[in-house]
Amino acid sequence: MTLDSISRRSFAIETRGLKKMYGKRVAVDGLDMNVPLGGVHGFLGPNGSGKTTTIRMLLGLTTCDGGEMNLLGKPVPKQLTQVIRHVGAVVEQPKFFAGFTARFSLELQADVMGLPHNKVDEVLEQTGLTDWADDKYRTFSLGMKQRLAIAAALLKDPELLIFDEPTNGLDPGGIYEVREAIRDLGRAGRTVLISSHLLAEVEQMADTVTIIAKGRTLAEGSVNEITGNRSSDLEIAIRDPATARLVLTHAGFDVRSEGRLIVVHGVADPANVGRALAARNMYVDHMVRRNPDLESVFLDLTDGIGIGEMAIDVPDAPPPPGAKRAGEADHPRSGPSLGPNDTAPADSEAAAESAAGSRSATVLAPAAAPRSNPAAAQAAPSGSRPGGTEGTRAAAASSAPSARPSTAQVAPASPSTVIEASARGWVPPPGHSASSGHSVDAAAGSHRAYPDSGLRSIEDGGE
Amino acid sequence: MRLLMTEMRRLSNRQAIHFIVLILMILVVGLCAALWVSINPPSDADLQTQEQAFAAAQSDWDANGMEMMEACVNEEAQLQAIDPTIDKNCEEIQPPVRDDYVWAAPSWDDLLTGHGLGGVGFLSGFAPWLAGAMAILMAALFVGDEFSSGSLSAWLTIEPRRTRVYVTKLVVCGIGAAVLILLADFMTTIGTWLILKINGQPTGVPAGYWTDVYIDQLVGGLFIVVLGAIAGAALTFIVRNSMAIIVAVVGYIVIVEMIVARIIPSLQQVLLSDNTLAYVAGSSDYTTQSCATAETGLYLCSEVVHTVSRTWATSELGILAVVAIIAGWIFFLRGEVK
Repeated sequence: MTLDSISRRSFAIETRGLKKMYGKRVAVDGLDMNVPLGGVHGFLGPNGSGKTTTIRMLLGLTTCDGGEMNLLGKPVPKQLTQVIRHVGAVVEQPKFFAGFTARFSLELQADVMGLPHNKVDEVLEQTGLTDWADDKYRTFSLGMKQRLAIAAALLKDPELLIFDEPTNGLDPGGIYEVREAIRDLGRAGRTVLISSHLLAEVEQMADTVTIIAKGRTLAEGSVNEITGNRSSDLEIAIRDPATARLVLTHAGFDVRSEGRLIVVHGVADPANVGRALAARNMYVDHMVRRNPDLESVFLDLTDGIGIGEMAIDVPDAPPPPGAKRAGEADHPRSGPSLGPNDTAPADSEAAAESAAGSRSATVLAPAAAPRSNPAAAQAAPSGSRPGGTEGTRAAAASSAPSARPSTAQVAPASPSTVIEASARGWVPPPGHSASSGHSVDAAAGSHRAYPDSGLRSIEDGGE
Repeated sequence: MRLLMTEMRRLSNRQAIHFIVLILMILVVGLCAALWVSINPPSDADLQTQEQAFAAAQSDWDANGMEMMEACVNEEAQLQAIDPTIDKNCEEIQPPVRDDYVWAAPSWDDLLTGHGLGGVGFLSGFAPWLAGAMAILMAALFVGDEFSSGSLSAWLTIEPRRTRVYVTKLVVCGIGAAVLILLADFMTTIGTWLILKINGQPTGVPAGYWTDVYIDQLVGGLFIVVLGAIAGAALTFIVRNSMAIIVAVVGYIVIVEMIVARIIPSLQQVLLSDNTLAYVAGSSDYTTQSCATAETGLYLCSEVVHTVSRTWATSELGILAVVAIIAGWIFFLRGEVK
């Protein structure tokens, strides 16, 4: 597959440089997003990061102040009327009249679309609301309201479903119901975009994600790539942890103790740790990688720009000619950069195929210079920049090029941004402990030892 | 057409609309009940008291009437010696009329002429402006709830063409209000006729009344109602809150119609109540006082009667409605829908 063969239609949603201002306040600041066809795509960001505004712009509920948007290959809002028939959406909370029954609410919507009323029964059945079809909306629990909203979205039999914070306010039972419903929709081949600030929840549902903050894209790709491709903590049990800690610290690793264990922070390649200890005749009893989850990735990504600080107000500095990007090889590369463990194929088409095939995660650093992180910089062993060789890409989000697919794209960045992002690597913030430990072969020590379901969903969905 | 029919179905099932229907029905029943009470004679004791009051007024007139008349004429003559234009309206001093003191059953003709309009219902009768206000209220509730419940944004994810949605909602409000008020008008008119008939009162009307007078005023009233509903809906698209519209309507009636218009009488030319009445009845009069110091040094005031014509009323109401419709459309087209 070449880059060219991935047409606009390969994505259910695309945005390029999307902008929205409320007065002087920037709500969305040059947002780039690609939602592949098929599967569940998480749209992550803290409250106020621009998720709902982006969705509202996509659906024509508010105007955008710049950039481009495509829904199912059609530019919106220009051709929204042509494509809306294939898009079901629930924006913010479910919205129906309190005095209308579930069936009547759906019948009205079916009437507008010219659908037969048996379609209403079908979606009520699908969402498990048949028994409550003639109950008034006001008597519904929040979970039932959410299910009714999903039923309304399904009426059109849409290719694309957009759910904005679908589990907001739900109890655990309701969250489970909605999560299962969304998973099923994704499995059925539909594209589902769910926006949420609940990262752990999205991690359970989504195949791919876009992480944003301050109206900008920070990272995009499959969940496994975004979490697994990044350097992580390494938990080591060893007979003499105090000496081992000294040895590793001396070797340039960021080490801390956790009881009888030592934890090496920000490890790109566990083999390096094994070698450093073996060189002093120390051998580990066990070594477990604590893979970062989305939450830790998100916290790491946003650590640099500081949630609550308007880093986006800093103007972008264009990169000087010939400036290197993070992880970029010495030879110039005009095509898209590659995914994890990229080996820089000689010709650009091969590079494109590699990129399209592996769909590596792209991590876009904010244009503003992030806060420095001396600890992380110190922790990065020389010659093994965490993340740098594993597909992590630092770039200025606002200057991302328009060529597709952008998941494999690296935008030019200001040198300071690149250096900072590189130096930070994968450093969970203080007090944050990574979870989901997976045993790895210390010798191999590669993230590739883990299955990558995200790849499957994108490739499948792209057909 | 599909959208229009769906919106009609939506409107007719809204609880706020059911509430307005209930209020209208209460008004209809109230009006009929008031007529029923007024058409039945009071108690013998009350009648006796009324007769006594009339007899006392008659005696007073017999004793002092001519004297009062003469005094008035003399005073007028003295004043006219100073200023010949002075008129004390002495001819208004008249002997008492029995009907003014003692109860008499109203007839259909009395009721019609008593209102100054050609009917007894909402549109054709006593309060076309009230019908217009109710139409505004209905439209405000219908559109306002769409915004406050958020269902309009959900609606726009099905039909994103905002102009279509806007026009449909305005049309539906106009139709809905017209149907409701027309129904209330018919019910009041028929109820009044039935009450008179049951009580053996005359129900005859002058020839050609129904075709020449009633229909004309009914159509005029309907126009006011439709215009009110459309303008009310358009204004709600601007402020997006039914309560704000209700407060604005009540505020306008209390502050502008009842207070400011009394302070500045000439303002009546543009008041919605006067213009509504002028449109329905063909014209409407209001008076202002014209005061000046005469050459003799006396400060004299006289009442000046002004007329609001139907042409003026049509222009004013039309312009206001068009401005509201365009403003609402622009706000809805460009604004964010939450």
